Amino acid sequence: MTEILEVENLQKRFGGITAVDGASFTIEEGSITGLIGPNGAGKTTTFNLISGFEEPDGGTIRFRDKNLQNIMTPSRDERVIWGGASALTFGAIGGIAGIAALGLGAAGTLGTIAASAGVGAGVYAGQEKAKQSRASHRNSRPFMLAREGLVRTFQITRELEEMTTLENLMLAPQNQAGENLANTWLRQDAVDREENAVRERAEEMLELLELDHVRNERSGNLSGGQRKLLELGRVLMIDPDLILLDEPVAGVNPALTEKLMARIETLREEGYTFCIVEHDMEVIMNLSDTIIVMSEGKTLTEGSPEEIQQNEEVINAYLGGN
Amino acid sequence: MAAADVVISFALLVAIYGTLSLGLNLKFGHTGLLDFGHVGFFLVGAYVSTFFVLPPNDPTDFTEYIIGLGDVPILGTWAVGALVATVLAGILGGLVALPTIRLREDYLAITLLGISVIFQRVIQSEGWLANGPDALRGYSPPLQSLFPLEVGTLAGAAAFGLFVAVVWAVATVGLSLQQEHESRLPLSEIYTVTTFGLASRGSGLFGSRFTVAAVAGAIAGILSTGFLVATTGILLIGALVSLYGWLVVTVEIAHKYSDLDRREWAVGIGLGTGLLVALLPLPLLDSLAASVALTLGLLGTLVFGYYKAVMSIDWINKAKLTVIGVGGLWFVSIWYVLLPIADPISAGSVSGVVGTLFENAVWALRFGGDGIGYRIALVGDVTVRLDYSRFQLALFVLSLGVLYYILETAVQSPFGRVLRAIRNDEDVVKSLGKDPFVYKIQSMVIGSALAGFAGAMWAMYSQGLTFRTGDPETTFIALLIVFIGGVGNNKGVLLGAGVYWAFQQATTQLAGYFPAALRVNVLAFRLVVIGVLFLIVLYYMPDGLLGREEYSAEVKTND
Repeated sequence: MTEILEVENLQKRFGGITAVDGASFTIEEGSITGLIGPNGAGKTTTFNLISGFEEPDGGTIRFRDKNLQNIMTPSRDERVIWGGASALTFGAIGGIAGIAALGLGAAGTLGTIAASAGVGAGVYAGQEKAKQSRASHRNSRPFMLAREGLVRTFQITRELEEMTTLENLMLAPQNQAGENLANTWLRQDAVDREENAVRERAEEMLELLELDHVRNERSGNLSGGQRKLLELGRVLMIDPDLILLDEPVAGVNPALTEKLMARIETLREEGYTFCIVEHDMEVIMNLSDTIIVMSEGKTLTEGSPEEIQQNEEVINAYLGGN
Repeated sequence: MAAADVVISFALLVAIYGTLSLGLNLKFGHTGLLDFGHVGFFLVGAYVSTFFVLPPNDPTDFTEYIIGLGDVPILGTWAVGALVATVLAGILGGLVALPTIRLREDYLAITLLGISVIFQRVIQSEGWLANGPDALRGYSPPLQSLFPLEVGTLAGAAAFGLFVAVVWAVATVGLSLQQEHESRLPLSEIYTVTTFGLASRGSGLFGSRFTVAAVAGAIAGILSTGFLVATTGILLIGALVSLYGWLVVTVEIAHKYSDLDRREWAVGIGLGTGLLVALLPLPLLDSLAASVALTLGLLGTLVFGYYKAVMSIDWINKAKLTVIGVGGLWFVSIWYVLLPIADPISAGSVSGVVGTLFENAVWALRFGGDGIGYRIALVGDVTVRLDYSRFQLALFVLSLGVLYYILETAVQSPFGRVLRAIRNDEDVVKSLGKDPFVYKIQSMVIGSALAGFAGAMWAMYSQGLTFRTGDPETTFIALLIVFIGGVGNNKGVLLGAGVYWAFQQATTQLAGYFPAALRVNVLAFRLVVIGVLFLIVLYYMPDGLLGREEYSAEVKTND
């Protein structure tokens, strides 16, 4: 088996608290990995770091042998496109101003155009600079990870309340033609065709998750368990490689928990990789192939459920040394 | 002014503020970006478009501005001016958004408010730019040189044809929505006739009802153009167009309220009549103090009675908005039909009564002044013409229709879905591999561009600009309109614009009954009433009249 995710010496501090302090572990492709630990062990922070929602203070995360930071930093091509676009914008404004300045005579026109070109070049350079510095807003781009195939759910479900269940699912697929404004006007047929395909997939997903009876219900009206299912369905619509589930069965009734576990099991057999944070020990022990135990921001140990259950250190960490 | 003319000027304002508020609705309603500086782009649009039609600056007069391209061929036209104003406002919206868009909702609102005030101050204090604190005048609205229309000429006939085409297309869209319902009238037959047979034959040929309506409108426009080049039958076409409009309006209203019981009708009509009765002391009583006191007392009683009824009677509570709608319609009908003929009735002039009724029935034409004369039985001698404001309305409605269609296509698509998702929860959008930043910028660009176009419309309408055009008040009016109609609901925004301007027009008319010295105070007091209205809307119906639009994501069919 190959490693899909590799975390090495991960560090994250919030003020005086070191939430993650040198965690290191790997996740095998096609496996279900459980991440457990007492409260405050740094599990959710680790999740946020892996999914790009926080920036680490130290250490590396590699997804499919690519450094996460590299995935999330715009490539050179992108920088050129963005910088070029802004330069062009200013150039265009300059052009309009130049035409408008006809009244000032040829010298004025030339001066205006030259000034605008200067501003454009300055903006281009400034953008380049900003891209390299950490201050740029485009530096933290967790959405790039989903495009690479790494997605997450949230501990407290975050469905899009005012949108229907069906819409929630239809939002997820990547690179939809209709997300491009120009296409919605100029290539309506292609957009409609793709939209129908996406709808079909979403309907299948609803059936799979047994949510089809609430397809047109606002997702804010769904029950807690249904929301968990919806979140799972939403990330599955992306067709990702690695799915990070943050407490997928918290607050879900036992019957539905069984169903969810069975679903995750089936999906694993279909080739998905899961990493799960969960406090329900029964669930995590039954589901996981490998379990990583975290304590005080460090990885304590790693092993199969049986090994973990026997591990002295783990028992100490959990039960506070009894 | 005949009642029809009041309605036309009302519709002009609805078109302008509808466009402005559609832009704000895209930003706020769909994407959740609270832009308190929306008016800034309106201001930019207004001034930029004006620069394209103003003549070159003449240093000897007292108006000073930096650019006047009015004499340059092609460039110095309203078409180019409005286009550049729209694009520039859009670009400006994007540029303003680049640094600010990451701010949280309330900070974003304050920052954008500040930016719009900067725009306004620049106009106000830079005398060389656009005449500083004084009004910028000296331009005429688009194609006004064609007026008064010469019916025999091609240009005049074509201008009238454009008006006919727009009215026809709009009415046809309305009729196409209604002809599927049951009705005592043979609506589908009428629809077949007014679409010149296109609808029944060419469902494959012309996809949606909008295309059918557009083509039917174009045909009607061309036919009437041809007819007017050959003859002087402007009254005939005007009457025909007016009749078609009345038919569609009547059918729409009849269908909208078809499921009402008699008692709901009664309550609605009672409310409308009550409002009329409450206002009657103003024109009838001589003593101002007595009439105002009586009117306020009656209005208070009416509102209190309505409130009590809604609170205590169940079926009224269920129909509380519907009965207001019925009452409003009843009141408007009385105002439109009965009030204008009150004077001729008291004078005992039959021809006066018939003439006034006829003038208001044929709303498509302006009566009086120099126009084409006709002699009609019972009515007597009349002169009719297409006045400029009706032509302008056709232009505005045409552009609003096109913009509305473009906007609606965008928000119904996956693009609009991402915008709504951002409004709900940005982090989810990020976790699903989409960059909220890019979408927010696009939303700001399109919304600001719409405001820019509305600004150009305003410049055409008002025929003079001051820095007051950029008052923050305008943003809040647009926001009120969005809230009245329903946040995130484009149809609701147009309705909201209608409700807001109906209120403004009604109070303007009302102020006419006050002595001239008091009129300013009455008009200023309206702002207080609007503030209260805002509170009531937010408190009692935070979802507005139509509520949020539900996007069921059903399979799109070409209807």
